[in-house]
Amino acid sequence: MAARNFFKADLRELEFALLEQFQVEDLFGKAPYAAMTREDVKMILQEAHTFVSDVVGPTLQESDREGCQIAPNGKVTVPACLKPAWKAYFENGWNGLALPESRGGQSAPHLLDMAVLEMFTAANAAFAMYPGLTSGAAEVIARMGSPEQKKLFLPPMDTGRWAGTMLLTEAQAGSDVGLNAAKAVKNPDGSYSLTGTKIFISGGDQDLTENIIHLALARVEGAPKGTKGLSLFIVPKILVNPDGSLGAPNDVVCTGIEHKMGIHASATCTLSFGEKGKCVGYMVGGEPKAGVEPGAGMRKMFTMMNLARIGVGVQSLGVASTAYLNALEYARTRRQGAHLRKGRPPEGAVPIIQHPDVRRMLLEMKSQVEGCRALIYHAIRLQDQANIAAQTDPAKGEELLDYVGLFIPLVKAYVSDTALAVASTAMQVYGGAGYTRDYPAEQYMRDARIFPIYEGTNGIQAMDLVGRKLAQNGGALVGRFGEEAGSFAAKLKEQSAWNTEAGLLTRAVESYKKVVGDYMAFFTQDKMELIPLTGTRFLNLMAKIAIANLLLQGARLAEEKLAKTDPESRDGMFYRGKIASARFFTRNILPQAVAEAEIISSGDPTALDIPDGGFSTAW
Amino acid sequence: MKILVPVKQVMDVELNVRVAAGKVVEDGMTLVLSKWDENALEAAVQLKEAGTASEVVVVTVGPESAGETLRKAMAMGADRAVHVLDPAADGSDSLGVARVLAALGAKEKPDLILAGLQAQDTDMGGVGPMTAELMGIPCLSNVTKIEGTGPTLTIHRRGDQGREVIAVTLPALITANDSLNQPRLASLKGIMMAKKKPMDTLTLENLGAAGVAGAAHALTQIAEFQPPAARAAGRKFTGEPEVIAKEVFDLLVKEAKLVG
Repeated sequence: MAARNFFKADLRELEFALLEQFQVEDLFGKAPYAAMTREDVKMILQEAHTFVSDVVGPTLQESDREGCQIAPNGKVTVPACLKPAWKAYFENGWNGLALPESRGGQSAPHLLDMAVLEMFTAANAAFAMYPGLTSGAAEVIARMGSPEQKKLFLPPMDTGRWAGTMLLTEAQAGSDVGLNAAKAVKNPDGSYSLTGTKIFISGGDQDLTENIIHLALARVEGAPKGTKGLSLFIVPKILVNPDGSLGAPNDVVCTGIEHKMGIHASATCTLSFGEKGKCVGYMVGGEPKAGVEPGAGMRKMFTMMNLARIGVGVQSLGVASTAYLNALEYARTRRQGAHLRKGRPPEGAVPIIQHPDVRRMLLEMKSQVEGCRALIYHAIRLQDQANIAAQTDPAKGEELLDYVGLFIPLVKAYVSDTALAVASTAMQVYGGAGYTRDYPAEQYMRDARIFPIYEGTNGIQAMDLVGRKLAQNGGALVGRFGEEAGSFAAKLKEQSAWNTEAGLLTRAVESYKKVVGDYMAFFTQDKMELIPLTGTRFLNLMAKIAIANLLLQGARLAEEKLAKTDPESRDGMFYRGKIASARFFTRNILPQAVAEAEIISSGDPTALDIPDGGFSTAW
Repeated sequence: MKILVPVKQVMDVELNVRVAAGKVVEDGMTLVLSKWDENALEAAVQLKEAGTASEVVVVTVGPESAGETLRKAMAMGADRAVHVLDPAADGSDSLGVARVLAALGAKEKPDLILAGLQAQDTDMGGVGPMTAELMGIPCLSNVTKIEGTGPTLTIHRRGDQGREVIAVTLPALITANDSLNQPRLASLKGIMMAKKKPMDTLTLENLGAAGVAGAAHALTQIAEFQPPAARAAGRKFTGEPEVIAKEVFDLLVKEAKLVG
């Protein structure tokens, strides 16, 4: 029996986001981005959709059921159906959309790349991790590697012959990466001997590629404690000769794989290196130059995390989107119950999309999915603009990049939390059928559950927001955010049709500004614990304001287009849907942000004051 | 060997096709390359990759939007494209399109024309054979396998009596069955390279085909479109198996007229 294919994407919505609202065309032809056209965008979306649908979609359930296996010798096998998908992915060049031309890519803006990535992750999030991690590792080498390292490692990684991973986490060093204990000792030839054990390594071993290039954090003998003393090493699974051919296996062993709730097709490995004292690694970028403190590379690597965290946002979005679209299809075909006013149709029951509570769920999902997409596209577009600005005006590039940084925790945390909620609501639309393995909702929920956890837990994201970004540049970033939302709300007030929404947005922005002031007060009144205590609430508050703002901007655009479109046509329906998303979000979801703000401002210390023993009877 | 591949842009039939006032609602429909044409194109590109063919030229007779389909065909491997874009060709029936293709055939002089068995929207299957007839070349329809390097090819086709194996000397026209091959997916590089490949836009006059195509010269006309009738509700039989079996059998004979 042919594998079932649940992949769904709304190409009209992707076109709207890219071409109408976020105007990817503005970025084309501005270095470092290639000259492309509107037609290119449409064709790339269309053909990527065909590819994902034909090649990746059918692997979703099959690869989940089969999972990954580890042999006694430590060799890991991934689900068989992923192998042709991996091969086709690279053969058809889909990894190369945003790669520079010098690496065989198309130099497209990341904005376009993210739209394509969203489809891959919607089709099979676990599969999409392998190429995603490979391009992430390659990007680190491209930015920070020595010329020799780039020449040796990038071509096989860019063509899918080798894969890449990131080795950060250790049993005692998760969120607290500075506790890393892996050790590196310099060899006479300039390489290092590494010893240590890394856990939770996605793609740490697999049988998709002949070699794997691990990027491992380790502490050089004598380096200071904490993150400062950490360096990054290239540790090939199979050693690579200077001519690029494969040498002897390195002393890296996979000692186990995790048995997880979801993303079963992604091999999550424990890697032990240097058990025989023979694990060779090379410092990324070669030896630090005189005057540069050891471990300076670490800080550079953190700037890479922007893209990785946006990547998790996109992953979350992809799963949320396909979960919604599957639930929508079910709601249109499943018949149950009578219409509240019209009673029962001749078929006996109405499609459940006619029931008010089901419509509530559908529009909640639709507006959240579109809102998250807008939030991500906004951030990634700023990042692309920063990259363009950096070519001619580095200071301007830095300024834009700082502002992108403000959105990173929102993109990672809000979108991943929301994706899980959307997947859960999608299951609810199915009723009991959704809880079975006959439908994809249960897998979407299982797969999506990791997104709020990895790549910096959402708690860590909230800390990043209130601990670093809030006060960054003297509070200028949060100030700019408030000003932008406030001035849009003021402009929206001039539109009588949007009076209600303008009022709700204004109110939310005011409570946001009040909270920013309250945070200052918490600090001066020696109540600083209240800041991390309420960080997640503040993150949600900001994300909901940003999303309402962006959805309303999109709705105004849709309204202009609708005026020139037959409202009963497909385009007409689409634009009416965009307007409904914005209204629903602003009226039904944004007010929750105001409630969050009131909770923050109340300065409730209960969770701090409760004695530890009060949490449990075991004390 | 030079191969000409005529293609048609059709509505994506996987979407819900709507009919209003006797016409198909075209608004907002995604337009795609007709699937049998993909098989024809794939066969042509494979012959090129095998070194048998030297050039694959893709052609369409259609509106502005059909240019996208030509680009897709070039993304899949065609070397260049010809777009016959002329309002005078609007409303052509199969014969009109065949006349235009025959005119182009006289100009391009391909050794082989590889067409789809039928278009995915109308399922007519007329254009290929009519073009061959007008050009005075052999036509082999419903082809499942192509062997050889020319000037004589061995063709497998599905015929009335089963598989037919036929030797044909070029020039000839072949229409592709969808079991001929598995069409490739366009690669990202192919998509980006396609826009650099040459695309000629011609009018009927350029082809010396003025006054042979278009609604005014059509021998057939589509009076109206009707949506397929909704499937009648199924019927559930309950009771003793022996009784139900007889009841079902009677219905099959009397109502469905399946037996006897």
